[in-house]
Amino acid sequence: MTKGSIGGGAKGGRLVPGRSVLNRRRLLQQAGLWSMLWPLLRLERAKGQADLAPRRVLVFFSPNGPIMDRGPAVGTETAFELGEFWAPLERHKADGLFFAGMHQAGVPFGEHNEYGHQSGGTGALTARTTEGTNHATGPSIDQFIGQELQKAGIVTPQRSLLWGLHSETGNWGPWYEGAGKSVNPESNPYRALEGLLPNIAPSTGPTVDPELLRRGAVLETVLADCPELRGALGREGKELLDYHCDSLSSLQKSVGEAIARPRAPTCERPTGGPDTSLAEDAAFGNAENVDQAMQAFRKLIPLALACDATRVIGFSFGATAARFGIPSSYGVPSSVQVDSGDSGPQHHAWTHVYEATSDKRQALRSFMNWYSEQVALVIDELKATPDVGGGTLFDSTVLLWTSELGHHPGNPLEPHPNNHVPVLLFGKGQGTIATGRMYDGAGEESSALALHQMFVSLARYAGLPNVDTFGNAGSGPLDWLEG
Amino acid sequence: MKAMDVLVTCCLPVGMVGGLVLGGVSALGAIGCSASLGDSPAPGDFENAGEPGAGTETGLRRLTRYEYAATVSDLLGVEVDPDQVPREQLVRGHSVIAAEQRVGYDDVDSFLALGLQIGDEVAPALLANASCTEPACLGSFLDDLLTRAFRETPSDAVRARYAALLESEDAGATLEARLGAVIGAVLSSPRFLHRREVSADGSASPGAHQLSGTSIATRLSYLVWQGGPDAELLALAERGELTDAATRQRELERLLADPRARRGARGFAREWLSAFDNRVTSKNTSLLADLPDDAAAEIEESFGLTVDDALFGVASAGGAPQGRLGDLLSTSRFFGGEAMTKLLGAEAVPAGSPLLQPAGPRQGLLTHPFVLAAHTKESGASPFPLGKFVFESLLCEEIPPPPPNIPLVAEDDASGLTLRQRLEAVTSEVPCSNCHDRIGPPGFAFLPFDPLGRYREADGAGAPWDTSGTLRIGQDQPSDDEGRPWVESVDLSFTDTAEMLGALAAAEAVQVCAARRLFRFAYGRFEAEAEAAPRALAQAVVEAEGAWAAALGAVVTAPEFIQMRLAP
Repeated sequence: MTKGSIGGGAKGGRLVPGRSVLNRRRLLQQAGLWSMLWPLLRLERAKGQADLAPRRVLVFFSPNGPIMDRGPAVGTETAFELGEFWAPLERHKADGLFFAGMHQAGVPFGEHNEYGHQSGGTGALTARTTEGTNHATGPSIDQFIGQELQKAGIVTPQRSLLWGLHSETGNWGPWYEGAGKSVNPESNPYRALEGLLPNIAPSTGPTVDPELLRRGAVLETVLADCPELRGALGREGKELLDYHCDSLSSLQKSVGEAIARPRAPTCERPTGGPDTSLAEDAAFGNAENVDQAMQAFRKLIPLALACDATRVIGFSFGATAARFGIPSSYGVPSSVQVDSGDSGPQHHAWTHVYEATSDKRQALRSFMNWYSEQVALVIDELKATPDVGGGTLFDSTVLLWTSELGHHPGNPLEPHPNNHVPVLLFGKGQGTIATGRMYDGAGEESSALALHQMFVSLARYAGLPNVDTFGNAGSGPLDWLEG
Repeated sequence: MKAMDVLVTCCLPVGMVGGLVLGGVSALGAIGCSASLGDSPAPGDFENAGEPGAGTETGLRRLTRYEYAATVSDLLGVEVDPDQVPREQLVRGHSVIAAEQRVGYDDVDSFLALGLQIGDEVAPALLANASCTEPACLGSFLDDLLTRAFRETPSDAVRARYAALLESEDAGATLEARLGAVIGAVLSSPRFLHRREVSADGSASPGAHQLSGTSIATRLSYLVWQGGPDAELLALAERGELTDAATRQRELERLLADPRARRGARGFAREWLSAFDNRVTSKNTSLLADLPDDAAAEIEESFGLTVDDALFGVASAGGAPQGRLGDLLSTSRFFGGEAMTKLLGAEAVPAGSPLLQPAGPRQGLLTHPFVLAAHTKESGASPFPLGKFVFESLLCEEIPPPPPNIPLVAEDDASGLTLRQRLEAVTSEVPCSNCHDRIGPPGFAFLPFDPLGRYREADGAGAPWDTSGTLRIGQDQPSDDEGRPWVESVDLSFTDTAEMLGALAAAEAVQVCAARRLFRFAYGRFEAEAEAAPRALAQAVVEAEGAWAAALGAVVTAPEFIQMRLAP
């Protein structure tokens, strides 16, 4: 037996098929049927407009916070200006909602710095506290929507996707499958694409990727182990096994859907690798590489949506308290070593510099501008990508960008404010959202409740009309979104 | 503010030390106390929640990353980077607490992808070696694979199901691809990914049960090897002979004589010292500048070699371990290449060999760069995180998590006071002192070491380090039904780092804590407060003066080792 080595790519080729009722012959028959029906289907779809397009949700998270500025906008609901940190989003101003003065949802209200990174990281997307643990006590909104859509019968080849510029989150979030169960982004665009490809039939006609069939067969075999194992276990063991087997079953549903569905008319299977000059084994989260990594992900996001591989994608610029850096060409100055032990031209260190220097402002502006520009570029891509029904992906996509930390008006050097967190929402949501406005939460406790409601609105928009609560407080949607 | 600050620990209410003028504090509106690693949440950070699963077994223990890699290596002869395996959920500095190891959607996706990747990697060679061109030819291979991977003889139904994949067109167009799919399925199955501990009589009712033979074999092999049982152990299990303590002792000795026993020792060392991840490259770039590109890997392997050497003797190819747990904390034998040589200011002895003679008062794993990197900030001094680490990993005493607001103390300032003096000044009052009087002394003993373990003769101002102190170890509080503490407290006074490390290595309280951590390692759960088995183990470990072989013997021959207790 040879000694080999396995490295890189535990998530290589992510999709796994397997609907027990499907076998290869039936699938091929089905594929043949689809090939005959395909023109009709396209015609039928062409009759509809944007309301036929799947509703999608994108969730972006950026680490640390703007700290020095209260953003993202200043003014009244309809007459406002974006702060300089968010200037790159000016071109999408009419398509956005800009929430200023928001207290982090789920986090106990306080003057400032209640729990710092821990509460901001775990609460930003879960709207919950840690309840004395190192982790969130519920799912992040992206995972929640993906899980609930599948339960509601809205099945996609991927329940949700989570990509980012880091692959390890450790404690304190922000991405959670459930209470205490964190999930890590895929940071390698090659592996992200590899995971998507089996869902995208070649343009020569609707066929099923053999790898999907293979994974389906494997999953079917593996899932049959579950009931045989269950009987010998006590309550705790059954709970662990059920969690595992539910996950397998959920994955099987996703893969089964990938096998069974036709190729979406707006979906083109790429023939090359991801759009990046970086090699497959590059350190994609390295400061010098993040532009190239983002270039790839900016193409992968619309690809995944256009192919309806999923309805919800999370994207993480950095984990909690990330020592996030951007290429040296941006000229970000280097910070001194700070109390947390870090230094250099990276976001976190600059939030801990306790002097309001021009260098600090330049650094924070650079990072916030960079995040803003990436979000703006993603929106550009969505607006440029045709969707079923004749519109663009942007017509049916709602994009949320929130942050770990915000700003302390009384002390703009405070590095850990859970208040005045900038929150941005883009997209008209197939006409359900009245954009081009700002919401000023004034740093009040009620602003956190508004965020809870905004999460409910996102879930409802995605296709979950019965969701009434999200996180540890509040109920109902944020009606303000409708204008 | 110049240069580094140090976060202090404790529980001062906001404003309580507002009158103090400390470098870097003026910008903060409030002051509290903390023993955090700064803003860098470390995997070993402890939670202040209750102890999940204390006193009962779950019956299902997800393989850790290292166990997965070791098991695959044994099964298929392929080396897997543990970092490519889905991560465990760390619970209060432990990776093995089974009750918290849920396998989610992304995990099963990753396990499946990794399993298929491994299958595709090994299938061609397996087929070539077996000279197989037909599925039927692979029957005995499949039986062996299933038995070893699932740690029991597979039922006919299981065998038939996995064998069917070899015939399935969906599993691949070629026999090679289908064999890869079979291996991928095996490595993705809950049967493989969880160590199952089930009762001998099939009962799953709450309360105590005797384990099945294969469950005992699996518990034993993962304890010693981090991998699954071999054919000999499984045979004993299926004959029901592992219920006999003497048989288990003999098997332990056999397993310890196998080179794979080093994996178990390394696994326990990582678990004991909460050193799961390689944090070398997370340090400030200035600390990495003079190190080679592969420094992180070299340092991690050096950690493993030190464990091997301390417990087994690095030059020994096999045989029973002669080392003691205390040796892990007192050894002066370090290994490595260029990176370790630089970090330790060492010389190779003899020249060109991996054995290094370090400079300075360096002894034991607590001063090894791999361990220090796991428990320090990215740069500067980390006395309180290290003091907290000593209490939690070596003394099994929890230090409460930090409050939200923390005062900052500049690492060097113009006060003329040393860093230690300034840190002590802000932590000497109640309630800060409640924690800091305890974690301060052991933490200050590490002041001469930077986050990668370089020894510095003097502080930034050129003053010699004050590493003396008194460490109260043991607990007077009753912790069992008869009012006995785990260990009665004693004051351990030391004048410098070496003296403290030497005293810890010999301390009964450390041996008792090591025994408790070993119990958790063996059973995958925390011990219950008044539980007898961990106390008996602690007593045995102390009586054996921490001898590794004896400690394992005490674990495997205990009547509880062949039992499980299920929760209501």
